[in-house]
Amino acid sequence: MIQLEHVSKVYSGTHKAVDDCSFFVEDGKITGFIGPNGAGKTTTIKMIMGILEASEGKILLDGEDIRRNAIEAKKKIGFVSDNPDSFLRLKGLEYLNFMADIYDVPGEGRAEKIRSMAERFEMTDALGDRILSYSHGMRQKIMVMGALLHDPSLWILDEPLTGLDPRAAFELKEMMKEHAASGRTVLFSTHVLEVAEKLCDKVVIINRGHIVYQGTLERLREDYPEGTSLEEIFLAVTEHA
Amino acid sequence: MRKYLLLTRKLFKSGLGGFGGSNKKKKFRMGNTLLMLFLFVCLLPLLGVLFRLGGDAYRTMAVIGQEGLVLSMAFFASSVLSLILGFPMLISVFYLTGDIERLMYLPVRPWQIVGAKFTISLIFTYLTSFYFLLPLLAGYGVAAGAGIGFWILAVAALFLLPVIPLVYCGILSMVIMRVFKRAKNKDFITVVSVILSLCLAFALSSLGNLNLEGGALQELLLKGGNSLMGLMNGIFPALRFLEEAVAEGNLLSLLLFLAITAVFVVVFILIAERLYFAGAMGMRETKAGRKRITAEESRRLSRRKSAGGACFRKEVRLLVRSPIYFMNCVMLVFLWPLFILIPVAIQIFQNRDVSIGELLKLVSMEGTGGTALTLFVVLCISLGAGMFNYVAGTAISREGKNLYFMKVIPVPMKVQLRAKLLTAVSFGVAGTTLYCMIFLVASVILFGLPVWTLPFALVGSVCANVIQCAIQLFVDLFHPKLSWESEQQAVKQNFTVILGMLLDLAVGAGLGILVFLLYDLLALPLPVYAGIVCLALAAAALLLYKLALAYGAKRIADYE
Repeated sequence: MIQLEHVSKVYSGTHKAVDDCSFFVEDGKITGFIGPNGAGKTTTIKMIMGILEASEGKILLDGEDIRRNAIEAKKKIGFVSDNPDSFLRLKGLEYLNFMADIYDVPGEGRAEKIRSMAERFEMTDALGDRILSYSHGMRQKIMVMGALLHDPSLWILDEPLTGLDPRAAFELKEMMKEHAASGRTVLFSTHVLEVAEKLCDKVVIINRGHIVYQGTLERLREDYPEGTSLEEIFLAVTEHA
Repeated sequence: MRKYLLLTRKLFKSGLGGFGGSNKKKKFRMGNTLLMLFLFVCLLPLLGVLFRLGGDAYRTMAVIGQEGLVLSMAFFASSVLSLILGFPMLISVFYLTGDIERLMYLPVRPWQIVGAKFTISLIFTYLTSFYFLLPLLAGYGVAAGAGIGFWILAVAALFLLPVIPLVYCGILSMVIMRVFKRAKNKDFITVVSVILSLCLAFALSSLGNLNLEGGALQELLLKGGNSLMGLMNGIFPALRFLEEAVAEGNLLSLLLFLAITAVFVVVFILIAERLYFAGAMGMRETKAGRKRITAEESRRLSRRKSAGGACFRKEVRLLVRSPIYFMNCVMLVFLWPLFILIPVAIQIFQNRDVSIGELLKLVSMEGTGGTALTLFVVLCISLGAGMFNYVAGTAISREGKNLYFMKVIPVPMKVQLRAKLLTAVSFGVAGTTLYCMIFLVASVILFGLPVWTLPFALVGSVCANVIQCAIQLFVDLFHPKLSWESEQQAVKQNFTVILGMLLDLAVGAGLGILVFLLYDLLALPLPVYAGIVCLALAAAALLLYKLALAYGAKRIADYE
């Protein structure tokens, strides 16, 4: 469960990137975090991750305050960044074991876990190669594997489907559904409304630093005439905010 | 030509290897300006020394009417300096920067890309060659009471001189990359070729090593046809025209030098047209074996390690496997003995009448003086070689845009910083303490150096490394370069590294002088004094280590 209470972020003492933002990401559900460019999505995710400190408000991750008890809170998260070009000179397997050590994954059963994830993502034959030799999609897959090794209760993904081939995208979506179905939390940001529509149980829409809507897409559709596309609804919501 | 100019302008704006990066105007920052000013002030004393050297050399040589030789030697030394610095730079700029793939699909000819990259590298080379040559020429000119003609031609020489050495570096790098195009591990080939070229350049500079004292020079001149002249004419055949031009105000000689330089550039461009794309294509790719990992390897890698140990391993792997990081941050720490041994070997080879056995007999380490000197040399090496260890000095800058990762993972910042510091100290210890201990153990066996010196040397050397690395980490934490497009920019175009090096130099020299002076002043028995020095160094190392971690944790939390 992720809980934001009256969170704001002010840059350089004047520019308010996120303003009095409160929302609740429930367990057992996939929540999409949507907003136009510059709306405050990345800033909010960075605050949830502990990369940025909120100027005001409180962020709780499964009840742990990210500011007061950062290490315990971070252990609960599996994070997939939008930029998979990290640790390029490490071999895939070295990277996964590095992540496993960082997140205290026991040595026992670790190799089997990596093997089964690699098979699922069709990465078995690539684990011995450096990440530098991977395609964009493979880099994205290895980052997803690294984020899930420690069975996080909260899975946060920033634009996760970019660059994935249809099969890997399908697998990732299935994994997100399984994660939520097992009672854990999934929060992901996206620009692709169709993905949000198909995948999300709930959406949080942010615009100009304010949360302009949170709830199901069905509930949002009820406020608009039948036949209105999701794109039109999104534009209307963000324009009138 | 228009495209070449466009590319050059774009590369100049974004720095070496930053093509395609942000074009945003940089904001004026007081901190940056003060940092540059501070660096300039730090470098002033050496400018003064070079200025005096130019004047003194002129006065000495003018007595025998050979003042032109001062210019020849200065030009030769500057050319060798450009060779030494130029090869690692050109091989990185031509083949290892991230912009290559973005440039190769543009409708431009290979020479236009290479030409633009060469021009930018030349501009960066001017920074060092001007710093070295300008005060020497100024000292020479002032001592000679030179007229306006000299100054104009000297300025022309400053601009023309580094071109031919860089052409050599450029051609060599293109040939190597073309020959080893199909090599499986190009990173390894790159590093090895840079090491070999550095050894070659140092050997050249050692062959041309001259004592600037008048007597030796005069003797050398009287011999006629000496090795230096032969070497200079052999490698840089056009240098004598430049010397004639500046020393005698001979415009024709300058035009001749200009023409020869132009020929070199044309040859370089022609070679670039044929070789560059062939070597650069697929340079950024590494061969993927796609070989299934064995169960044994998987089990070995899957053994659980502490978070700090995992961070340490990751740091070491990334440093050793990234050629730019390895060449700029690590390599020199290990290579410094070569740069001492090569000149010594060449001198011994040149003076065949010197017997190594006789030389070794002169070294007596049994007396207190010899032992004290040995320990002092170990300390100086450990403090001095720290200046070439840029692992801690770039520890934060190397993270670049991925710095967020340090904040995301559930590992206390102090643990992560400790891993970074430990990595730097490990490389430093391997490059200094290890060498020194091998030398000392050999000295104990061969020359009777007391055994009790070994633990003192070990502790002193390790502490000296911790002190130097902690200082560099402090500086990088204070002013890291986090916004970069290529690894080259993170470590080479990072003035903070120079600041860290200068601080290391100041602290190293200060500590060395203090230890030396106190030995005479306190007149304590050597083992007692060595013990006190080790304790003081250990206390300083511990204090700096604790402060660096505490400051770092707070500082990184503040980065947004």
